[in-house]
Amino acid sequence: MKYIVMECHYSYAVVLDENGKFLSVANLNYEVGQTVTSVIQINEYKTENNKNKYKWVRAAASMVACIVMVVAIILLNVNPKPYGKVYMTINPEVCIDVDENDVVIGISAINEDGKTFLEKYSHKNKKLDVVMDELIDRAIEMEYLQIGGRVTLTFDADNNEWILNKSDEMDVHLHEYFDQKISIDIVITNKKNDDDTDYMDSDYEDMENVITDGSGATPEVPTPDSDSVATTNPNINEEDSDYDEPNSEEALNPDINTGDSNYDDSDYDLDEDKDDESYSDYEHGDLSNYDEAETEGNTDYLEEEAEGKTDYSERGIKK
Amino acid sequence: MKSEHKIVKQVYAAKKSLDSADELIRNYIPFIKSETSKVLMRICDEQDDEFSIAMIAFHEAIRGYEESRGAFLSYAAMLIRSRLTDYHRKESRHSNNLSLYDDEDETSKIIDSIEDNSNPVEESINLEATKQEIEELSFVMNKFGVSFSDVSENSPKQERTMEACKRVICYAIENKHLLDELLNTKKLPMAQLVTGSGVERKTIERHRKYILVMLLIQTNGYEIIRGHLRYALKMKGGSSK
Repeated sequence: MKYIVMECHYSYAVVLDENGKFLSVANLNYEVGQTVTSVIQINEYKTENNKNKYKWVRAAASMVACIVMVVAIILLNVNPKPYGKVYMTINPEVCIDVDENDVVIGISAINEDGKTFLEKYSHKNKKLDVVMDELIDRAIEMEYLQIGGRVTLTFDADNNEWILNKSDEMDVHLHEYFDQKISIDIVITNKKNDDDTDYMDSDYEDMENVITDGSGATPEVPTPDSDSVATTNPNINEEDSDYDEPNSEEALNPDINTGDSNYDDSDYDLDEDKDDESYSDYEHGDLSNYDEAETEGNTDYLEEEAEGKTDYSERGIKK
Repeated sequence: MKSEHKIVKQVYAAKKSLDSADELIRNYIPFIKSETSKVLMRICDEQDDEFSIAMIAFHEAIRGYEESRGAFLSYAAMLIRSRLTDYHRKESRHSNNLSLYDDEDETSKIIDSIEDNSNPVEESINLEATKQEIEELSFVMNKFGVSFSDVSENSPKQERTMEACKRVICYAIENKHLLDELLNTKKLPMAQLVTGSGVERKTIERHRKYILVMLLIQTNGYEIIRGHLRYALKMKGGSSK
């Protein structure tokens, strides 16, 4: 780049570069009209005023950033997200929240007994196994748990591997710990995360995965939510566990589903011929047959009828 | 303390124009020389490049000084030292190169043994012609109340602004009557330049002095300066089409 010296002052010179820019440069003993190839320009400094203008904005921004950071840190520390949960059912039922390092971050009572059970108990900075030992010891002390009693542990976490590892670990640990002291049954069950969608189905599937302590005692039904947990009695039916109980309703009403579909509008006419006499009676709007059916003791049928009653009568009247 | 206040006032006054800064510098030459000598570790001569650089650093100190930064002279001394250090670092890159003015042998210098194609007489004529042109331009500019120092402060710094100014100048070159009008009325034909070039009035207003000088250069005479600006002019011609 060539520069023509346009004006010379004592402390500086003005030159014109080839792009048409006029520059103030160091006057290295230049002469007006001289052409030079390199110049030393005066650096432009931003005035302090411009900086001051935004000083408070910067200060405020950094303050806000600091506050946000501090709040974030406090929130993260105060209320860390539990990594896994362990439901412990003796009679008192409690839920133990655990972080990734197996440190207990919270214990909550699930039933009334649980509340009294946890009174004045502190889990601060304790690991899961320690808390577990202490809680079971406490249960023995408070006489919730007696010799031959049962403790049910249900593990729940997003990470299935964690559930398996922890359940194995706790199984071994608790047996080691309590075998020396007192004989109690420890039942460990795994809980799938999605089991709360359908209690009837998923829980019974889970039963296959139940780990028992090998004492021959039948594992207990795992508890999917707090309500059912609360009602679960750990000591029920040790001798004859009744898994069929939930099915008994279904057994009483075996046709409940088919019955419903039969009364469906679309199916009604088709089924008309197939079904027994009483249907045709209803068809004619003769409601007295209800009583007959009742006296016959056909209770199953009666229940179906009760549901479909209005439908029948309406149709009967129309016809 | 009182003298400090005086110098602060002077510095704030000098911020407004290069000429007043030049005046202030003249008063502080001993200070500048002493600071330069400290860095050079020898007595500083007015012919030294370092002295000129120290003066430029003093200019920068005047421009950048704020009262909140403390005493002006210590600030200026700091800037002089750092500017000279920068210069020495830059120069040290060439330390392995031979200077043409180094001694080749005891009697002659390297530059003497190189064939010189330049014609000193022609160069001196050229220099004289350029000088005349510039003086003439300066004279005309004075009529408009503008000096080169003003223009150098008013010269667009951003590339985009520079392009906008070039569009204005281009438009004026294509419409010669605008240049005549400028010379006759001693005023920039602002309205026509705004409508013709499509550049915002605010931009033209802000760089009025620069545009004025560039237009004056485009009037008759000033062939040497125009020749110097031929690349800038070519660009303008190209962009205007």
